[in-house]
Amino acid sequence: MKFPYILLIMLFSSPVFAENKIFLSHGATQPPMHTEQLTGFIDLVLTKAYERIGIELDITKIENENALISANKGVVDGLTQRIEGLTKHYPNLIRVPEKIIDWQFVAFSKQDINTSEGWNVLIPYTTAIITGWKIFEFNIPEKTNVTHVKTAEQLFNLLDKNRSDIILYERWQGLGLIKKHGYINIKVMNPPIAKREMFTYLHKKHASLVPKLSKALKEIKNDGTYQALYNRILAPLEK
Amino acid sequence: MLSRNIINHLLYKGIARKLIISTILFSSFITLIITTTQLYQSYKYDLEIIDSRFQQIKDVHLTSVTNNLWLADKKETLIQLNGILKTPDIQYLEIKEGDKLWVTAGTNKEQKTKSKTYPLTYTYKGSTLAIGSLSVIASLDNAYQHIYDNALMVLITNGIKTSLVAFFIFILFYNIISRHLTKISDFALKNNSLTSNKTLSLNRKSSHEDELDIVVAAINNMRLRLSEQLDELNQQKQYLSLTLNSIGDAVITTDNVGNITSMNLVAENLTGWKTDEALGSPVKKVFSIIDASTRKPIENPIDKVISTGKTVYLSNHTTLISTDGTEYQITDSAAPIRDSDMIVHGMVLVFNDVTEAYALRQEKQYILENMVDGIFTVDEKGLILNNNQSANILFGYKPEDTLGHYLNSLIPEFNIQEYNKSQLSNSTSSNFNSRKAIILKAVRNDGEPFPIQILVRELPGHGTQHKRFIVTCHDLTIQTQQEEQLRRSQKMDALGKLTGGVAHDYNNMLGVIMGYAEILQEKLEDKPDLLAHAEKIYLAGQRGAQLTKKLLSFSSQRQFETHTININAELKKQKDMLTKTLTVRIQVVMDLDEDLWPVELESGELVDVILNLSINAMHAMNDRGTLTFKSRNEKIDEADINYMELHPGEYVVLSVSDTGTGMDKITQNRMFDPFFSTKGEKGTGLGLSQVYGFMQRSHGGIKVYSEQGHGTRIVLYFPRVTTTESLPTTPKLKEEKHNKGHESILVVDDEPALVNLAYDILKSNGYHVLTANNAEEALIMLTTETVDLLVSDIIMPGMDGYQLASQVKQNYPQIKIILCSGFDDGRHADMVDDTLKTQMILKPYSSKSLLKQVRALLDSNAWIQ
Repeated sequence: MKFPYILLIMLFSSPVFAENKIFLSHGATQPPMHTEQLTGFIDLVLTKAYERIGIELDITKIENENALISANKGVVDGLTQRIEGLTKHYPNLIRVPEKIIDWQFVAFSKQDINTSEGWNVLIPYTTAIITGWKIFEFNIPEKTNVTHVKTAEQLFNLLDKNRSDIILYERWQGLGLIKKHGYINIKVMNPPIAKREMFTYLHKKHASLVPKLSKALKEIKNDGTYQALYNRILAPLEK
Repeated sequence: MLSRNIINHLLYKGIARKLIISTILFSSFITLIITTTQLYQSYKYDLEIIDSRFQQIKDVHLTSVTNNLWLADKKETLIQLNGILKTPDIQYLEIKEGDKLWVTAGTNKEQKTKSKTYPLTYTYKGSTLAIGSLSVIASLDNAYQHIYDNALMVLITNGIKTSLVAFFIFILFYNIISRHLTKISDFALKNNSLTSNKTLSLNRKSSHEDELDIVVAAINNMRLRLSEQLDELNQQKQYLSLTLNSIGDAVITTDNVGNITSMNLVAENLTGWKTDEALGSPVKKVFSIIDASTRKPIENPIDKVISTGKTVYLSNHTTLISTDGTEYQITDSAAPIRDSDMIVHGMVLVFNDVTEAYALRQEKQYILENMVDGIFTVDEKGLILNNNQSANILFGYKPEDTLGHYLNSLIPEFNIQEYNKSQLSNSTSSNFNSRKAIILKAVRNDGEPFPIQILVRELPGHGTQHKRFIVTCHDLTIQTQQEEQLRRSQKMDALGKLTGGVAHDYNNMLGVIMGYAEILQEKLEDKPDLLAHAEKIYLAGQRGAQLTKKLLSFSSQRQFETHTININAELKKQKDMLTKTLTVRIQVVMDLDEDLWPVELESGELVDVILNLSINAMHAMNDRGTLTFKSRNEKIDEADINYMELHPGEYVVLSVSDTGTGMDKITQNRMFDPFFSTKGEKGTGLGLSQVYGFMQRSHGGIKVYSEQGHGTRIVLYFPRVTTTESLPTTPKLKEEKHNKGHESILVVDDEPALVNLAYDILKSNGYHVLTANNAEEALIMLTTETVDLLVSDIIMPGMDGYQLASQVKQNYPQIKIILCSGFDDGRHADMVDDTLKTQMILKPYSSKSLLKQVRALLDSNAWIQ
């Protein structure tokens, strides 16, 4: 719903080729990955990376498919993190080769469920996912009793109220929600059902930044900045 | 024209107006019912619509809402609820998760709403879980607004419809019925007199032979019959009026509420109201009646008659007051006027003027009540049924004390049953009226017996079984007393005449004896022995004169000189004398009223009376005793005089009481008789006779109270004198030296001896004396002789001294007159004045007294008045 706001930004923003500032969008990514104050893990990683290349980064939230369309159209400069393979459907986007992070798509439950068998472990359970998360939509077995929700709050609320045995979500964001809402008895099931590397994308008009940004990302990983960020933001969630 | 008629009918005609009003009202009522029903149906429909919306919400949204609740998707839920809110009438939705409010949309006005709550259930793992509820609240504003909108529309619609229907009905009614009814009613109004010959006909195009035609024909027939009946009724009314006016009694008729419907002439005359004025007025206004004795209004009989339906008779003391204030005594009755079903339709009041009869009855009643005699009405057993006031007074009872008692309790000697039998046995008829009065003894309430005369008559009209008698009672007490007094008075009078006559003759003889004894005394001065004899003769003559004086005192025929005196003063003067005379064993007590009135008496005689009474009292007290004199002023009225020969007036009362032996009744009855004495030969028996004569001459009275063994009280009543003027006194006698004279004196007396004596006495003293033996001779003599003084006896055959003096006065006013007598029966005393009476010489007179009187009169300026 911030689309009009985005348009307004676009009208008064500088041309892209000035490249002093980059606007990226993220989907419905929750803390600890993204925050409104841009203090999430990915916010900081990318901010650091863009700093390394002398560009100010601003991140906004555009949900779901709109984020991809907006980025593809160049309304925004890119996406903060997505899986590989988007360029097939969104050809104007260029993936930055250095991954941002590995996202673990895990099951959360109040029960102890061994998820080492993969997706089929879901069949006997009622499962809930966020609508639009393709990774789940494409891989959950058909026999599974799946409930679709729109938000992560709904997802965890469902689980909290025992309205679903399992919910599938991204690990770190899930843990963030667990901590935020104080859900008790909701645990992460290991191993993750799926993993995906998450890459940042830029509109092709910023193609020149792609290698720079990739390099910057490497650098921050190498120089410990990345780890420091991990230790500060993500690691405490596992405790 | 038609429309004007229609409008007139609409606005003014009764039936049409009523019809249209009724139609409008009824239609309006129906309209209201229908409208209400319609509106209710509309309202119900709206409610059903709301219910259907509820159902729709349930059908369409409940599942998704449940899902959203399950998924805790508030945002989506809110979107959904806001979408539901767009449904008409839905104003508020809320979803509760469990009991907690989860999400709401809209505004809950809480008034004029309809709500529905749906439970939200979710099937999870084969179990249906109640996860919350959806409450949908719909506003009824629209429904009510529909009602308001529809109501107005429906009312307007129905109003128009009703008006059109009413108007149509009215037009129809007008054409078919109303205009004909109007014509009929107009005809009835204009031709309300049954004497009119007009007939009713409706202008109708064709004959329908319907109800209107029947009504018209009936009206015309009815008018004809009514006219005939009215004529007949008028004839009857006239006859009735004539009859009523021919009745001698007053007649007033009213309706059943008391308003006058008719009056006859007599009623008009008595009430003062004309029939025209009184018709329709309340009878109480016209027939104004009061009680004759109390003068208070009497309840009008109309109310009682109409309420009870009975005939009412008013009391005998009813007074009718006419409009001009004239009062009539009436008798009357009021009766209800009933029909054959006994229903009261009014009242007929009949009354007549009994003023004269009433007055007569009142007069008779008054006479009866004020009769001196007592009157009883008794039955044949003597039970007292009624009496008059005098009967109660006579016997000393209150009115109620005698009623119901028997007459013989008042008159023990009278038994009416025995009397009735005895009278019937002597009478040929079955009833009797006794004309013979019976004298009996009756008993007063205080037990005092008294004489009574009764007359018994039978009251007619009571048949032979229940007879009634009138018993008239006449009190004979006073009559008996008066007869006794008269008898005593006549007795005393006869005795007085007898003693007077004897005394007169005796006086004459004494006069001669004493006169010549005086002459002898003068001629025998030088012969003492013979002089002594002459003196004895004279003294004997004097003693005889004292005796005749007493006799004459009793007979009241002695002349006396009266003066205004105070009895107390005389008593006080005599007290010492009395004390000595009565001796020390008799105590004299005087209780005298200091303010005693004066009386006209001869003091000398009063002293004699006092002395006589005192001496009698002394003789009655053998041992010691008390003699009491009491004086007081007293007024005697009519009630007191019955037992005394007195006139009502003011009296000085002197009572003389002793504590002696008292007198029995026989002695009391004879105590004043001359020569009666209880002292045997010791008393002359003339003392109390003298007292009696004195009281008679003094125009007083005397009463005696005596009880044997206790004493006697004699009470003397002297009339009070109201002037202190004394009667003219006799001229003072000149000194003896002047007793001689030379005038011419005519001596008249039928007693030759006395004539000669007077001649000798006067002649020897130088007078020229003429004599005559009777008045006629004296008058003849006066025609030829010159006389200065006439000396005449009073009692003479033929013309007496008074008559002679009267003629001399008339014919010879210059002649002075001396009358002399020892006996005066009072005849012709009024022919001369009191001066002459006081100048009388009493026989027997002495020569000195004769010479003194003659000289004094000749020398005085006293003339016969």
